[in-house]
Amino acid sequence: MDDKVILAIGLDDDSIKIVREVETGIRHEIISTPAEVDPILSEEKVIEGVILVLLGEGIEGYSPDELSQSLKMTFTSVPMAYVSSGHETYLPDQLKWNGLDDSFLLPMDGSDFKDFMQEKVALGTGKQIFKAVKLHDIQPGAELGFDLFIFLPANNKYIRYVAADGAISDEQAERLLKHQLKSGYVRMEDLDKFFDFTAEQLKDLQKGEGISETQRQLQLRRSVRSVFSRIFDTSAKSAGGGKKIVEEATNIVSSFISDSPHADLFKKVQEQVAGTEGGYSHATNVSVFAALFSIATEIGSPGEVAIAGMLHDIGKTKMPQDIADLDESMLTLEQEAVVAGHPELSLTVAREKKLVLSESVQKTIRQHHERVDGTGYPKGLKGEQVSPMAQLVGIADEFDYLTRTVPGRKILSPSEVIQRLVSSNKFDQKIILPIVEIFPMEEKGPGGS
Amino acid sequence: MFDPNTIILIVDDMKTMRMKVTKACESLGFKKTLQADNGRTAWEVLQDAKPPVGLVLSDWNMPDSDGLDLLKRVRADQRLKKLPFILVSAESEKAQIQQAVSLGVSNYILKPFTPEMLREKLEATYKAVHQE
Repeated sequence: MDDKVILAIGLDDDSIKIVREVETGIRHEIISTPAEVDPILSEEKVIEGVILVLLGEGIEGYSPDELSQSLKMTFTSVPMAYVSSGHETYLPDQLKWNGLDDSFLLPMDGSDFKDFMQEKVALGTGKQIFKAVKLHDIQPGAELGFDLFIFLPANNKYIRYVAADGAISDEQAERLLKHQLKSGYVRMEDLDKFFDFTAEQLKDLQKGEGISETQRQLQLRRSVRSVFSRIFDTSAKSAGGGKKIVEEATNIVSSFISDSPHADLFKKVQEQVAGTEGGYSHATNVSVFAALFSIATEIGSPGEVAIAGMLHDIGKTKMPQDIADLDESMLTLEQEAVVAGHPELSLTVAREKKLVLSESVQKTIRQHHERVDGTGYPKGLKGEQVSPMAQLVGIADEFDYLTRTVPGRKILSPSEVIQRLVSSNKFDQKIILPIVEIFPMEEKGPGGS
Repeated sequence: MFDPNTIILIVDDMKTMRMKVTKACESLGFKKTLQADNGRTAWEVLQDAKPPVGLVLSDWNMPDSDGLDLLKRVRADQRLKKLPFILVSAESEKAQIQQAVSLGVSNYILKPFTPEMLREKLEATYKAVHQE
């Protein structure tokens, strides 16, 4: 590994400190001045073995934009990420089009950044990397289709526990439970197979052969819970957007709906929306959460809520930017009237993009801000006038908003958020109570409400 | 393929990108390149260059006068209207390529690109231009 190097260019001191703290075993070359960067840009100085480029806020005379474009031309196939600890100057949206793999605002995105660095270093050095996966509901007899590893801390080693072409035996399943080994590991290249396996498990649970309805619902919600726990495992979602942490859930949902009639449209919608989103993927989160709620509660069609979730706010791209960015609690009456139009505008934008949406998807988008107590918009519908799928998307929308990290606001756990939504009476109890079961109440601390 | 003596005008507001693109052209055997930092100065170069410029490689997004402005001027000019013109664009501009095509762009290349990718685009452009 001596000949490999991580190049860090124009990083601020705080970011450099964090970079050095990530154990990779790889040498860092820190470039901070024009005199150091000029020979690299002009290719007078050729640095061999670069496996990762980290770009900061820039170097005197060179903006991050110029550096990222030029460095990408020099290190075309090397992963590159933008790293900053200056939240006021952080501009990932502008840079993402320059071929950057990712962007991180430190220290909030520290955990994601560490994963990213270790993953890229492993790829660059050919080392095997393993990803932790939740082992809930891997039943005895289940044929995995991928090698499942466990980690032995005493030996600091991964060992294969179940082979890809094998199945978990009763003893293995029991042993895992007994030793409370909730996390297994799969090779990075096998992750897709794990997602497919999880999606198949969810589908099998929905069919619920040979078990009671109550048991089926319990297992479904537990399985979806384990998918959610992956999302909320890291402490609070990062200010940088946290799009990586819903990636797994998105893959599971995509796999789940892959053989449904909605699969092609969902893929098309994802591609369309990706062009309009910034670093923080609200639409992706709402889409995935709503689909998972639908799978767990068997309300509505997961494919259709996933599509509606991706598109629910796309109409905001047609609103004046200064209103679209405002917190809804800060709007004047005139501004509220503009925002109230966004559900219908979302349908207009979908039409312009030639996305053919079913009646029920259109209704879901149109009604996603309606509330059963009549306090929603645009029409102030009440009770059963608000469709169940629209409520799923509405719940997912609020859920994402309330679980987001916002400076100055107390961070709420998923179960706290859901409890808050239950007691608001804005959603039908028949719809929200099953969702509560996905998130069991935690032990309340002394400060609990 | 374009003759190695073709004079290439490289237009980009970023000095380092002008240098990178120049190096890419030189590695493909092109002997002479000129540079401009926006559409306005590029237009002046196009008027004055002797021998004349044979190919324009222009960035899209530039302050003051951008690649699209330059393209419009070139296509409206009697002398320059058939000049091969390649836009260098970022992923974010892909959706607007249609607009550039309607204005008569010869081709486009997405950055970042390698000299090999540039070679392929130049070959395709040469072929297209000589079929007209």
